[in-house]
Amino acid sequence: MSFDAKFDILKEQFLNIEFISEENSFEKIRIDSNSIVGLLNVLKYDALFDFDMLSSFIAVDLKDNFELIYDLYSTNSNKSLQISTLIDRNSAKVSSITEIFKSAHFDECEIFDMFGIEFLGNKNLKRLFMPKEWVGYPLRKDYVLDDSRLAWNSEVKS
Amino acid sequence: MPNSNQLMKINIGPQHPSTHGVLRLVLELDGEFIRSCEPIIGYLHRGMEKMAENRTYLQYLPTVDRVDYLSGFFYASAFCDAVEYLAQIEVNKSVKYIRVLTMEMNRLASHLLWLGTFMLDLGATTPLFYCFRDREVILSLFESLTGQRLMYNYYTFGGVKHAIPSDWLDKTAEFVNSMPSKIQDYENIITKNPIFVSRTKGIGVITKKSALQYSITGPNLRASGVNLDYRKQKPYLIYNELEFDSITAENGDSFDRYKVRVEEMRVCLKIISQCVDWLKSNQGEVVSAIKQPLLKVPAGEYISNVEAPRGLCSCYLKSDGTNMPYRVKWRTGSYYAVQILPKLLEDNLYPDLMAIFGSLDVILPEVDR
Repeated sequence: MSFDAKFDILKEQFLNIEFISEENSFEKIRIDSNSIVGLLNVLKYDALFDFDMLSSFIAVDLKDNFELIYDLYSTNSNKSLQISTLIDRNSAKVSSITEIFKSAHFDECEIFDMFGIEFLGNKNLKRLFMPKEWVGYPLRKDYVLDDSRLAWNSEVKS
Repeated sequence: MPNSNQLMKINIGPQHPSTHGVLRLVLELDGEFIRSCEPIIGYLHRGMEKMAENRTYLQYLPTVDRVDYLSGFFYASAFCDAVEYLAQIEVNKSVKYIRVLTMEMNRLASHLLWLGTFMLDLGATTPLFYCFRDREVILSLFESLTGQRLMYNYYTFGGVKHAIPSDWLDKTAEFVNSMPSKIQDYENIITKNPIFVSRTKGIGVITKKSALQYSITGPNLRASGVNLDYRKQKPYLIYNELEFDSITAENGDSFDRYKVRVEEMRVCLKIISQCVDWLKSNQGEVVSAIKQPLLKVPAGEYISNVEAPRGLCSCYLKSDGTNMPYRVKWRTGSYYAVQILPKLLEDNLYPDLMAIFGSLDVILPEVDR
């Protein structure tokens, strides 16, 4: 079955789903952030799609909003599929997918640590790399780089 | 006397010789049994991804080797691949052969270090000296090729930094010819050693299902019976022109992970000798003609995949058309291998900790980035 035919099946189940093929970029499926858990459930457990591995989980700060990219891989059909969703910067919340892919736990903690995106349903969400008491989210584009807490800046500031 | 029902909390690391870096494991022990384990990471976090956003492509390139200091070539290759794809830079065949040759030698060096230190973790000191002896030859070859022993900074966008020295290929061929008997030596002292076998067989079993559930890749996944090797499945560079097998095993225990890696060393030798033969009879311009400091990458995004010694390495690169990356994201194999530890260690004996953790070949700079 071709990809287009499979995509039509997805379109019947999910209303606001679109196929994005921009210039100089990989093809990806964009979906509303509320439907991401439903979509990943179908993509993983439906034998038609059979994406059994979350290869990587990427967050990007697009300044107005955040983009999350779920990079799926199927070991049986050797296919990759990228799912993208946009999250509003001011209420950065999205459902956790740790129930579907257990490997996403570290990824979600890392994205929470670096971007401040909250994953609803992940009970153990915490900072992964930065100290627990760290203020701010380093990979956001508006993060101030000459932080006075850094050792090489402390003398200048105080 | 403490209450016999009470659990004892023990910290392994962050400064512990057998955690191979700065991993901290908070264990709850019930006598000799591990009841829970929580890995705590981040001690080696250097902000590799944030650094990329404030440096030009050329300035960022040398730091890429530090993502994993035991297999720097793979990460440089993934990054160069992504930049070359977006900037539409052609890479000729000679460069591709040199990259594959150096990467496979790097994989061999990395596996040798793993084998030596894993055996040391289990109390066997002899293999360490054997493995470091052979790894030394590879590092010396790298030194004469790139000027560096660990952080090579050898690949550039569109090529490599220096051409191959005149007698380098002969020396490499000589090394490749000497290796099979040495790998046989290791097998003779390790594979059938009753102590090693009883400590690793049936220990730390990762089933096919949980390996996929936890996104385990590389030799760890192949030891669980899933034949996923990006060199075969999604060939990059010139892997589709080479003849080699991807190694799998059935049981997914520590012993199988050992077996897969030792077999992979033989596969490395096979690939290296094919590359040496090709490079001896074909010579092309390998030093890049691109003016590197001025490189601007057109807007776009790309994910490049490389089969690194510790699993899949992918580099997500997003460019906004300037001379600095907009976003770089590293996906590494060890990051996910650490995450499966609590599941593997639960209700196992404390002495099995190193037999399980060592076999996963986790390296911390790659986890923390």
